[in-house]
Amino acid sequence: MAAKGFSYHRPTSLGEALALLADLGPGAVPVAGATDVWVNLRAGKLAPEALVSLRNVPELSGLRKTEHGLALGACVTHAEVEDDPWVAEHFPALHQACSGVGSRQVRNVATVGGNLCNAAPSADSAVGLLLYDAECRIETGIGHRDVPLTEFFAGPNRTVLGPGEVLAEIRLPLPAGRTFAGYRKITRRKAVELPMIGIGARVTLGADGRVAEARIALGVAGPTPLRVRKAEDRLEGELLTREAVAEAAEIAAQQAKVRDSWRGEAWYRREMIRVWIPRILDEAVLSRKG
Amino acid sequence: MSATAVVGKAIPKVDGAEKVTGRTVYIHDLKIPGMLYGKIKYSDRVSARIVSIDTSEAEKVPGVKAVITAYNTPEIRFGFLKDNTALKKDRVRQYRDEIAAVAATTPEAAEEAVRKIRVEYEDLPAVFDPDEALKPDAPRVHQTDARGKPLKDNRLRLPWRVEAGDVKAGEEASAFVAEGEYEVGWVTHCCLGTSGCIASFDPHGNLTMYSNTQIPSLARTDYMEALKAMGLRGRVRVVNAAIGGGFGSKLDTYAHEYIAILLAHRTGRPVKIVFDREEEFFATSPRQPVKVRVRQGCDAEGRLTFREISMVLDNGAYTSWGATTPTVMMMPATSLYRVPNVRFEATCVYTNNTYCQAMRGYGTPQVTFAIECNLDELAEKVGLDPLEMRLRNANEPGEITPQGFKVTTCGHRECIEEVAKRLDWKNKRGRAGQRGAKRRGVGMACLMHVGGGAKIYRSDGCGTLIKVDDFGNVDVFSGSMDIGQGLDTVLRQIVAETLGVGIERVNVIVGDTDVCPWDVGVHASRSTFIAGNSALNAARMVRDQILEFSGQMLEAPPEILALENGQVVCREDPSKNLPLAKVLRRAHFAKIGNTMFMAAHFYEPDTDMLEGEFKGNYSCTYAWGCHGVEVEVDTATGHVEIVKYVAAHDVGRAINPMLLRGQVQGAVMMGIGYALSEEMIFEQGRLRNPNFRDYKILTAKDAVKVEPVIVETEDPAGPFGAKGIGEPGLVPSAPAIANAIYDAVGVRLNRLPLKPERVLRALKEREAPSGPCGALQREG
Ligand SMILES: Cc1cc2nc3c(=O)[nH]c(=O)nc-3n(C[C@H](O)[C@H](O)[C@H](O)COP(=O)(O)OP(=O)(O)OC[C@H]3O[C@@H](n4cnc5c(N)ncnc54)[C@H](O)[C@@H]3O)c2cc1C
Repeated sequence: MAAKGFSYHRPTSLGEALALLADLGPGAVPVAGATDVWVNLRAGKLAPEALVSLRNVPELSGLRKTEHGLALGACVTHAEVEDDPWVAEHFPALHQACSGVGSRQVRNVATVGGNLCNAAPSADSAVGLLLYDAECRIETGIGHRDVPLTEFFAGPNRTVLGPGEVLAEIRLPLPAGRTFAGYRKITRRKAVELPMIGIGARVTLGADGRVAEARIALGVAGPTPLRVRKAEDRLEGELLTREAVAEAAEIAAQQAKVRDSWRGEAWYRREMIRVWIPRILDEAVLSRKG
Repeated sequence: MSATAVVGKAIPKVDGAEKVTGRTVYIHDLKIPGMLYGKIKYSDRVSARIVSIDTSEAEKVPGVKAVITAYNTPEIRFGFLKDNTALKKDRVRQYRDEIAAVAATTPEAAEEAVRKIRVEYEDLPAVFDPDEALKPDAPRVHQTDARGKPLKDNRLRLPWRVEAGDVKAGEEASAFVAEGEYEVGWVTHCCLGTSGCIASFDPHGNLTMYSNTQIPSLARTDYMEALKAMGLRGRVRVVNAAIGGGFGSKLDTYAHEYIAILLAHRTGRPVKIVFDREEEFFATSPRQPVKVRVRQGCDAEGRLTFREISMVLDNGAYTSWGATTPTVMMMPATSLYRVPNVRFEATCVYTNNTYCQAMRGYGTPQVTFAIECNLDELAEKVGLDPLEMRLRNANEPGEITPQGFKVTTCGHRECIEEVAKRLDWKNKRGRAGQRGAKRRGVGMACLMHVGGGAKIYRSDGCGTLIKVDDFGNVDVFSGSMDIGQGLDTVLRQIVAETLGVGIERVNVIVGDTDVCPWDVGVHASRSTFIAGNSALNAARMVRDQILEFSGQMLEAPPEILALENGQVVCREDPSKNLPLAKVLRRAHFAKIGNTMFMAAHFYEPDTDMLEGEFKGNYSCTYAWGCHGVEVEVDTATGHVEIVKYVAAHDVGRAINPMLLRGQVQGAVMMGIGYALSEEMIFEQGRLRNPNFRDYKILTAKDAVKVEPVIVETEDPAGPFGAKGIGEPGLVPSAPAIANAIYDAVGVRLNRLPLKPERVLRALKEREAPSGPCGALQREG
């Protein structure tokens, strides 16, 4: 049923949004696509005094291709990412992660910024973004600060955002060199699913043919979406061999803080990490060749 | 096959346009002036004594008009064994037990008030596993039956047992015997339209229930009993809004309906209760979990010699009509394939889980999973191809099965052959030399279902009333209901065909007990057959009246007249042909006539209600089918992908091939969900996944291309030769898939759903019984 007792605001500029949030105080909650906010409202987990919609704030919209890489306005929807062939080509793992969120109807409104700020351990696009060293621009009202995505999450459904702060933009450098990457969410059906485990991998090769950068990121493998540095270390500086990848996958499987729950069993989640990291890289290599 | 004008044609559902443009009125859309909103307070404990209920804070919420409990309302008992009450007194036995209810001017006020009801409990021991519940020292779910007679254990006193032939002799004559245990869990109907009703009393104490029940006539009787319990003497009218899905979920009357009645009576205003999605998941009754033991044997050539089935059903805390599903499970148990010696026994057990109900297939999906998996195991022992095994034992027309079912038309063999052909069975079964992680395999399974009604109740009848106006417009009042299956379209076709008018001339009115004749309900795949026969007979009576009158007008014997294309045609002299409308007006207005054409017919099939020994013939005809599937199993992940799916069904005759394919396609998706993904997860009686995120019903993206094969056997008892098809399409899906997985990777999975974790665990345990997941002793 409709929750009541909050006011609703629609600022049309970033300045106005920040001012509103400051004026309305800690009872005010920013909202983008509302696909998390509304669910939480209904469940009684959220009882805001005011909702401040960010959807009409032009500074938060749009997907920009810069010379360094990609800049995503926090309010870019998953569908916008899904529909962008340039992103699909240069950031395939992010593209796969965003294209698998919910259903098309959800992706049409759910924003990438919302996915990060909601900070679910299962957040799909968060894992995709972790693979590409994303950095978050946070507008504080009196200025801004930049936080690497690895430091953005503070725990399940918690971020480093302070009261009145807004995530404005997410920046991803273009990987330098030949890159293979992919994201796979393990689910029982093909749509409208949260991952039982989310698995992402990227390797970027240096001029010497060795792995210059390796990124392994997981969802539902800890309190927040996370990178597995030990697994990455196993690959960096090495040749991209099956053995190296299998070992990195094994390390990731061991490092993952997976749990037994009625949503999935720990051994299976671990096993999928083992199976899918090599498969993701295999598939990426094959698709680059083809 | 007789030539027809509209029967047999792929006519789109008549309600399609209305539905896709959002104009259909569901219970959710209905509003009545002065209406209040009702909301239910459910138990916070699974098994407890109610110490006290404090509703004082709830009553203070602005807009609240009434707060009721079992302590301030008359007791209304309901359910198949009358072991349930609308509101619970003294004791709760499951989390969905209704403790109190509120009526308020807005849904929000009702919700707030419900949140403010305080209940004090004293916990009592609970039991969740039916086998545990059968032990002598198990906590008792009910101390007494509905009449107050003490119960000594948790076993329901229901006589579900049948035996025919000599099982012992059959076993002795067997060259091979296969034995197995199979387990299926809870799944739920997932109707898009949630349950709901509006109860409204007029000043004379007459009740109108706006509802979405599948059983308007029986529900009316139930509500009348409720009024009696309340000391009222009014009439009851049940008016159905459009139904957004039934699948058996609305085969009973439920507590929320009686609560709406109590609230409406208490407040003197109409009261609406509509479930939200979570309630629809946890407060409606799912398909029963069953543990089935099967033993069956055959001679050296693979001919079946005996079959023995015993099962335990988790009834939950109360008893719905779903507790009678074993009477239908008996049918495939004793009669699917020719087995001379059979024994079947089912035990329903009270537990503190949610109480169960029938769901599409009425028990046959559960028992068919066990029989058909086990049959493949038996075939392997014989060294026979499962296809050959099935062909050798297929049912035949004219046979009377050991339980006494009269098989009239039977396309069983043809269905098996069609599946084998379209699946390229001979080449695809047992493929050797597969490499890589992904392995393919094929499997099949058959089904038998009631195809001509099912006398589960004392009457399996349906009434129809037909009237014709001055212009050739026909109104058909049927006791049956359209629940999305397309009955209103099919009845139009049957009546239009018989009266020789266009389908657009025929109007079907259902779902109002003040207007429509009696019908036992929409279940058992019976509506096209039973309501169809009823409508056909009524239409023939009207046709005969018209032809009789036309004969007088034309001075011709009625035998040479017919109704075609909106005309009365004279077979011997076309110059005498008359527009039907002209005949109708003449009959109405002219001196010779002064009559209107109308007729009523009540069709009661000539079948037996089974009791005592459970032998006889409870359906006019039986539906047969075979499903074949090719799967690809990812041996590294356990994921099962359906590559090809063939569903062959003996449907008698397809009155509307388009709707028929829709029924099969939809049912197969439900069957695949049952096989691979769907499960309600209960922990200590609490449903953990009451939403579509965590309950894995398949989505449009998971849709599998199904190849329906329509086998027409033209049943002489059916309307235009038709048999029922509403349920059969999901019955053999799970065993066909399980058998295909075995063919692909050689592991047998006897427990549904065949989710990736289970498949992978089975694969790993085969390789290394104490390997990486063998050590993890969580559920199997
Ligand atoms: C049916 C369904 C399916 C789903 N499937 C998936 C899935 O497959 N994978 C997945 O990862 N998620 C899924 N989700 C969750 C959800 O859609 C995503 O997390 C989505 O990205 C949230 O974006 P939003 O714009 O709707 O956020 P909102 O709901 O508007 O906001 C989410 C949170 O972020 C805050 N917020 C939003 N934008 C900002 C900002 N710019 N600055 C500061 N705070 C902000 C809000 O205050 C709130 O706390 C699903 C949800 C539904 C309802």
